[in-house]
Amino acid sequence: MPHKRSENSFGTNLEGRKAGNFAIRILSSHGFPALPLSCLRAFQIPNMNHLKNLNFVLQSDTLPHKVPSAMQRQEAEEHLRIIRSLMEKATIYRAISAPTALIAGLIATLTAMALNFTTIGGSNRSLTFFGAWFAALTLTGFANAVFIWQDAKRRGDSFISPGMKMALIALMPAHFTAGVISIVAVCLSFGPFFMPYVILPITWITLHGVGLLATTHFAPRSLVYLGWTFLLFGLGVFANTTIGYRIERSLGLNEWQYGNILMAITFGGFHFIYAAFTWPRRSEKTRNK
Amino acid sequence: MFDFDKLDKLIHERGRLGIMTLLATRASWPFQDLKAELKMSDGNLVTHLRTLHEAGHVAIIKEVHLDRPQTSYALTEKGRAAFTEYLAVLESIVKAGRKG
Repeated sequence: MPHKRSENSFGTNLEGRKAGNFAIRILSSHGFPALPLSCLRAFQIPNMNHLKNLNFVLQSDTLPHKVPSAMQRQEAEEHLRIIRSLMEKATIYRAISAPTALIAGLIATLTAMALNFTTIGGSNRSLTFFGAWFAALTLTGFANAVFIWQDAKRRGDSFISPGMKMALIALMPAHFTAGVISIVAVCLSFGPFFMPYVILPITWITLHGVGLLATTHFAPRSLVYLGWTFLLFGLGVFANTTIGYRIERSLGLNEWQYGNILMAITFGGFHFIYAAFTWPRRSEKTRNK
Repeated sequence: MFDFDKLDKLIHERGRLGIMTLLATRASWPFQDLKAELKMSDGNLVTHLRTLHEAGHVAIIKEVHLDRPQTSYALTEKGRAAFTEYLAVLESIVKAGRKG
C-alpha cells in the first residue's frame, strides 16, 4: 500500500527533493533503504540545508517500511474482528436443539398427564414420581444424542466434538447436584416436613436453569433465555413455598398434582416455546438446501 | 522492518477471508451451510471457492447424503498453513502499528 508523505515546508522544497531523490537512487542501487544524515556527507552535497531536507525525504520515504500506517493497522484490526466473529459464530454449540426441545416438551407433558392419573399410595409414590421423571429425562437425553449424532454426521464432525465436551462439562455440576439431591430426597421422603412432589420439581427446575446458564459463553442467546426462565420460575415457586402460601390448595390441587403441573409447565411448556422460537431459523436453513 | 508483501492478497479479500475462517473451524462445510453463514449469493460463493480451490487452499468433497448429492469444502494443508501465516501477518501489523 503506498505511503502518503506528510506535507510541510520541507516537502515543498524542490532543491531538497532533488537532492533527496538523487541520494535515494544511489542508495537504492546499492541496496541501502536508509542511512543517517552523517553518512550522507560522503556524497559531498554542499548545502547543509539540503542535507536536512534530504534527511527528511529519506526518512519519510523509508517510513512505510518501518511502521505500518494507521489505515493498514485499522484494516488489519477489522479483518481480525471479522475472523473472531465468524469463528465465534461457527463454534457456538446448541446443547438443546429445537427438535430435542419439542420432544422434551412432549415427553414432559405426557409424563405429567400419566402421573396425574396414577394411583399409587404410600412410600412407593415418591419412587414412582422420581422414576417416571428419570425415565423422561433418559428418553429426552437419548433423543438429543440422536439429533446431535445426525448433525455431526452431516457436518462430517465427530459425535463427541469439542463443543459437546464443553457443553457436558458446563452442564454436569448443576445436573449432578440435582441428581444427588433427588436420590437423597427420595430416600428421606418419609420425613415429617418433606413435600417431595414440590421440592423435587423446584430442585430440578432451578438447577436445570443453572446448568443451561453455565453454557452462556458458547450457547446461543435463546438457550441463555431458556436458562433464566427456568431459574427464575424455580426460584419463584421456591419463594412461594417458603413463605407458606400454598398456591396448590387455592387451586384445589394436591401436592402430587401440583408437582406434576410444575413439571408440565416448565419442562413441557418452556421447551415447546423454545422449540417454537428456534424452529423457524432451522426451517429457513433447510429450505435453502 | 515490515514486509507487506507477506500478506496473502488471495485471503485478504473479505469474502474469501470469511470462507477460509469458517473452513478453519470444522473438518468440512457443506456449500449450503457456508452460504447461509456468510449470507452470500450462489454465484459469488462459487467464484470465491473456485479461486481458493485453484490456489490449492480448498479441497472439494462430493458425496451423497440421504440419496442427494452434496458438495462440501475443506481446507487443504496448504490452505491451513496459508491462513495461519495470514493471521500471523495481521497480528504483526497490529502490533507494529501500536508500537509506532
